[in-house]
Amino acid sequence: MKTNPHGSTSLMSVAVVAAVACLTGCSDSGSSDPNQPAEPTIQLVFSPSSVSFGEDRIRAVELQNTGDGAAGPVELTALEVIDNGGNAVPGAGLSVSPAAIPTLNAGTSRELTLTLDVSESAVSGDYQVTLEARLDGQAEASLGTSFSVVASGPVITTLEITGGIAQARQGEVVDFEVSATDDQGQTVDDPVVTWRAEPPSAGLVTADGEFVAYAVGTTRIIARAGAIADTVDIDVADRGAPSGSFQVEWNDPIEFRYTSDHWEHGDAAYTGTWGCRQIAGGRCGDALYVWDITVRDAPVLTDSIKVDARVVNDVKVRADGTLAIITHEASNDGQNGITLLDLADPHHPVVITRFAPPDLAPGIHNVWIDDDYAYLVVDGAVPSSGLRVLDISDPANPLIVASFYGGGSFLHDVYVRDGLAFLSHWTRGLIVLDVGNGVAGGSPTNPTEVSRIAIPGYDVHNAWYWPDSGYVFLGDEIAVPGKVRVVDVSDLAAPREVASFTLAGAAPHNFWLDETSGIAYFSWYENGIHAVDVSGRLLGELDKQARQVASIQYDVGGVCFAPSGTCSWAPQVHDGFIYVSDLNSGLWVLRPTF
Amino acid sequence: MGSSTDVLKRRAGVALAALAALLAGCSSDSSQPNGPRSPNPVAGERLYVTSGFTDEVLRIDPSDGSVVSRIPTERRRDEVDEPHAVAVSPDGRHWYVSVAHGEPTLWKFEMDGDRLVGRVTLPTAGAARIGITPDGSRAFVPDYDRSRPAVPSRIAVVELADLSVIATPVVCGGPHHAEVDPGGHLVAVACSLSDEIVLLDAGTLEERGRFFAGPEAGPPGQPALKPLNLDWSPDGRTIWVGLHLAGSVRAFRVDGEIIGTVVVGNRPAQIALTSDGGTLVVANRGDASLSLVDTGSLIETATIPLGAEHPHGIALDASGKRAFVSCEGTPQTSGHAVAVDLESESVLWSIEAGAYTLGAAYVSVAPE
Repeated sequence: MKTNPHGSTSLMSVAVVAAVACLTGCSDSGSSDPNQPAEPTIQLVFSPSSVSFGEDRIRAVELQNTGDGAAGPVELTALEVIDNGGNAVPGAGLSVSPAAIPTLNAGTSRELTLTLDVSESAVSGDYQVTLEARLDGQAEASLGTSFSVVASGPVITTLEITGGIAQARQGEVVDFEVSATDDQGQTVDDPVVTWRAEPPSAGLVTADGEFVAYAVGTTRIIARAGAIADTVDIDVADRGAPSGSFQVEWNDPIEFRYTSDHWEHGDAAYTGTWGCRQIAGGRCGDALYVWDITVRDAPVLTDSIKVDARVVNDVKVRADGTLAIITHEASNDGQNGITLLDLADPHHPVVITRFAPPDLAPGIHNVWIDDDYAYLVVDGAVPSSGLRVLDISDPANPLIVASFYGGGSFLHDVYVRDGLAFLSHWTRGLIVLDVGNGVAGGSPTNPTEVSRIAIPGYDVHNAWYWPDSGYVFLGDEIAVPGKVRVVDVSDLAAPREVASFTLAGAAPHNFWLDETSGIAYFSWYENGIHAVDVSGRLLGELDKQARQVASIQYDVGGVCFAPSGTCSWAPQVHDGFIYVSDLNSGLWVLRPTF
Repeated sequence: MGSSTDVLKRRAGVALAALAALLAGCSSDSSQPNGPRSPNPVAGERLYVTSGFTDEVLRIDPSDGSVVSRIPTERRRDEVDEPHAVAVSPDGRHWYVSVAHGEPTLWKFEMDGDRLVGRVTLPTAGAARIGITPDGSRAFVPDYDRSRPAVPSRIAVVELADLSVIATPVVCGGPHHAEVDPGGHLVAVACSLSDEIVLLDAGTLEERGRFFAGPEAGPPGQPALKPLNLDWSPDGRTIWVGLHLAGSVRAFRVDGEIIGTVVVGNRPAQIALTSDGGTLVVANRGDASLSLVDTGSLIETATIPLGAEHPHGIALDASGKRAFVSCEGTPQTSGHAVAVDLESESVLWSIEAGAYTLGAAYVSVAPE
């Protein structure tokens, strides 16, 4: 016999969401001026208006444009799978093909194939997931779908929560387990149970019984298998994370160019420049500025280097401080590439060579230096783009020794540590390469893929690998509200997302982890700098765990591409100070008070 | 020719184009009982230029150079997406922009309100100029892949009704411009890195011809001429090609026979024939000037200084009396849009217009 308290027969009672919406233009379709053409109406409609998968996993639907104007591009986005309790269900999702429709003309429709991905360990029950058709990020139509899971297994008659602890702090992860017996009195191995916290806002319990506390107070943990349940209470105390603020120590605005990335090493700082500033006297990003930071909170501009580029997006200094590399994009001669700098006098770098073979002509966006190798990000979304590995043991004569392209989208950034290269590969997610670690037999001359993880709807822009914790922190600079995601790579072959940190209003850009203190510094564009306690085991929504340490919008308000206003690009921790590059206003020096 | 649209002269074509577009739209999709609204061509004249480093298209009043509006084409904040080319549909109802960086894309706007109505990702290395068939049904967008100079790269072929990419044929090294002949039969491709001109059947996409841009041609990946742009004569019998490295333009018959060569300014970029085919206008990127070439005598008749750095794109008005030039600028100077009176050989107006200003398109629609 199977226990099926939420069997498929109850599926018919599942409410599904009707599926029509239209632009505000629908109700404002006429123009009062007869000489002016009427505004087009756009009305996207799913047909059928709801879908019940039952126990099937594939269905076809249509998206129609019943208005009188063309619409596009239409993005199709599935929301989280929700169980009957209203909780998000990890390990389940809805995919749609195609994921986007370039344009949908008036009176036309497009067939879509919906595919459910449901873990085999999912418990019996009914679930819902909503599919949205979006124009310019706004939902114009939604389709409610439902499906059911009928799990097989023994009938559980007794259930007891074991393990765990009675007291915890916010953000602390507690492992619960269950023991169960069946109607024959036999112990059930790996019983399938659902977990939840009560109240739901008090914390998260995963399908594996991992609990992380969000709220101070008493939280009830409930495990259920069919009609059988057990509960325990846990007292949650304040996390006690450090708290404080930032003091602005220094800024001398760079007014005529936008500022990009930066790097500090010893007594010198280097700041790149970006794009073309559209102000009187504005310039493009054709320069690197060099600063003396012998007095850490009083940088002095000592030199600058002009190159043929409109974007010097990135600058990196080798760990031994002898060499720097800056990147070129949109050069006047179309050759792009990189420039290698001799830092014998760190305040007055000398150009060793500009390396601009045809391979690098599309432009170099980011760079990482690891001893005698440089890892370059070549612009483009084709096999000839992606990663190039450069042997720079003779800096005057760099040599391309390897390349890698992850397919499907462009590569945006690369981070190398412990013989592993972490590629931020936009829609294709995070790709881990062995470039000498040994885990997959790779080397700098033979980068070998170890694993990858893609997160639907998340464009991976940058990554930071923290070996001691086993985590990689990811950023997406597009989606708002902004979200940093944390991926557990303790098993390099099977990376899995475990946590996130969300802020409203803007997206994150680059970040820096002070691994000694366990504090991450996130540049968050208009939101400024945020310091977050990322110590310990990470799970769930970090922004709900009292982990925020400090934040600052150091300039007046927050607005990018403006004469002033916070537009934070990248932080770096250096000798107790936080150096920040800001797109609008250049280098800032902050002093943390925590 | 390639960069301007005069709707008055194409009334018959408009109806056919509209019908073709309608049929194309209906062939794969269901129709609605009430019928779709047809976007309106908008009376008056317009100039569009792409600003590659501010990720926008500027709509400019051709009469005085005032900027009417700025239309964003940015997909990724703080990344340079680089709108490259802009082109207007023959019926004057839509305009298109190619965006070269990140994921190369082709954007579709209604002329009426400059409303975005579609965007498709091109499965190619990049996106350069946009060649549209005379019926407005199809576009050819070369990828201008410079990263593998000795390796042939692709052209994206896009059905414009639904923005479906129907093919990405591998054609030649560094294709930059693919222009359809006035009859809509052949597509001529300027292959900048292989010094070739390739002719494709505009319908079947089969190769119909391939010839070098001259006996000076270099080996694949090491061009000596670098043909970047071209234009068809109105009778479809002559192909004019700009030879970027040679500082000249060259006229070919369709079979590849050279008719003649004319030395122009330094590093010619885009070229455009007047609608009567009598004058070829050449943007000399290297010395900030326009050259006017008499196509009958094969003589450069004028050189017009523009006063703006790196002329790149050209759009002519229907009369052939005015040229509108997009000038890239440099990392130290702004891009410009410049209007030139070709009869008096003088600059009518010049404005700062974004940064890395690459493409230009002109359209004129007569009032109903």
